[in-house]
Amino acid sequence: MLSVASRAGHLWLALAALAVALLPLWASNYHLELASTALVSAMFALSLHLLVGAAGMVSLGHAAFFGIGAYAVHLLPAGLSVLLTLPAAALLAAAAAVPVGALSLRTRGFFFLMTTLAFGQMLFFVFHDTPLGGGKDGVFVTRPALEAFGLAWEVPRRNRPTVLLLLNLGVLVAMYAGLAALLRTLFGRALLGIRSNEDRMRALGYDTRRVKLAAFVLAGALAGVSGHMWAMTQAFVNPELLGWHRSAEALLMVLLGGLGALHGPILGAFAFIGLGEASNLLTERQKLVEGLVILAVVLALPKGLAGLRFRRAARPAPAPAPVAVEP
Amino acid sequence: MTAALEAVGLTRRFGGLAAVSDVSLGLSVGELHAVIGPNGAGKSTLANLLSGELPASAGAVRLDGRDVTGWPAWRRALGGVGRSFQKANVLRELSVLENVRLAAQARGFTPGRWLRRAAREAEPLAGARAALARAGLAAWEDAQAATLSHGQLRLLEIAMALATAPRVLLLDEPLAGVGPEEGERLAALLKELSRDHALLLIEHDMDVVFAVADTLTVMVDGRVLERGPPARIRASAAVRDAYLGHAA
Repeated sequence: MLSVASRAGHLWLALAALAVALLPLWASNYHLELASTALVSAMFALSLHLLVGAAGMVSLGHAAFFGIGAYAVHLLPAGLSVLLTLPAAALLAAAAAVPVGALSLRTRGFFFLMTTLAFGQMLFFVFHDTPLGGGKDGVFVTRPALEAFGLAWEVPRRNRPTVLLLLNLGVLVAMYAGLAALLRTLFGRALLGIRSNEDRMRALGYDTRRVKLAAFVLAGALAGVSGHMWAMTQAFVNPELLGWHRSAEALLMVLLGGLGALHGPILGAFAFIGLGEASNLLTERQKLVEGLVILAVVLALPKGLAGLRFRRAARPAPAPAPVAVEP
Repeated sequence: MTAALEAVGLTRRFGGLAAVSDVSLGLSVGELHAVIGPNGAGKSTLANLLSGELPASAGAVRLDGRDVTGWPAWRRALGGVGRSFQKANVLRELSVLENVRLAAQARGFTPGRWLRRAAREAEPLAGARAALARAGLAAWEDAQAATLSHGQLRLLEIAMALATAPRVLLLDEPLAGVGPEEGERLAALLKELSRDHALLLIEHDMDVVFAVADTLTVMVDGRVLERGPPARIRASAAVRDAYLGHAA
């Protein structure tokens, strides 16, 4: 089941967030941009985790909503305030998620995976093969303005990576806090019940399809937010943002971080981006190294990185909670 | 007395096989109606047709006089039909209390209340604790459902059905695998529940059935063979031939 970190766990997460916020004091612009990429990936993986971890729905089409959020920045008039473009990107992605969710939620399990993949690729080709999004090679976009209530903030070019890093960090923290709160609501509890045994929840009186659709649309909106932050960070969008590769990458991040913890995808995203960077520096066979390391982690740590505990051997750990044994 | 839940000519075919054919019965509050019959007689299929788990091939189901034949299971559950399953069917990863709390939460789960903090909703929690106490599982509320014994899972099934505050209870073999002492306590609970619920009991233990049932329906090959009070069923030659004779 999906659990929210303990008080001590949240302290560690807060320290990690602080460390990221302090990066601009010593890291190069290149590394700040890398950290921003990891933060945006973490947002996207977190939005996918609402489907996979909380509701047990494994989607291979989630990147479509990420891409739509990113393309929203291109499609909206240039120079709008981020306070307008961000909600607009979320709304556009959510609007696309309503029909996709309503149709694909008629299936479950493997068929749900294939249906979401099909819808995702359809949306990919809309941007790849029509002039709607500026063509298959992608387009440069104007970053939304940092402007609120008539006060605009012009960021000098050399400070831009710092500002974007802090902005992305803020959005990720807000998204995490919102999802942690959501899991404590009646809705969140019902989702966890559906993940555990959907048929039983129906027999208890839950219209599970409606609950799942709400989760699907919310996850789509959050993916749209992530995509928007991607476009704002990179100032560039292309159809690959909607492709299934990106959905699969996010699933890997969720798996790497651990399915059982809400903060798992954040750890998974940072590990994934860091691993890509490290293997790129060390070897020419980047994908091979990445694949082997991920395989090793998933095999060695069934609960993912979030399941890692650093305990001193001298102090016995508290007895582990009873583990579910499948018959 | 009008029936709380009524089946009229209920039929379910799987391909060419009629698992349930032309079964009519009425369940009234205050009456414990037991359905017995050999394996494969269609008892569980009947329960699934009544609760909406399976759509009917023909016939109708009425809840308080309303035709609910086309209603999905969740809507019938909200309409007051609670059930337990033959095979333990619980939320294994969650605690015993959360299983029953989710059952109690189902009724008030309207979109306007979705975003309320679960911990601050006193009503489902109180309802869950009351149902656990009635089923005799209060001491186990913090245990993970997957760790319960077979007998305890039967109790959890009943507690979950009770927590939805139903008027109709469909209990599919609630005593299977329960120890003799626990079985006696459960039989008494069934009798007690039948006073303010319309209760359908599917059960293999003939001693219990004949002790607690007000009305018995005997099913063979998907059809109703005989119906009546326990004394008449016990005396029925047809029933003895078709069913009790084999069991003895």
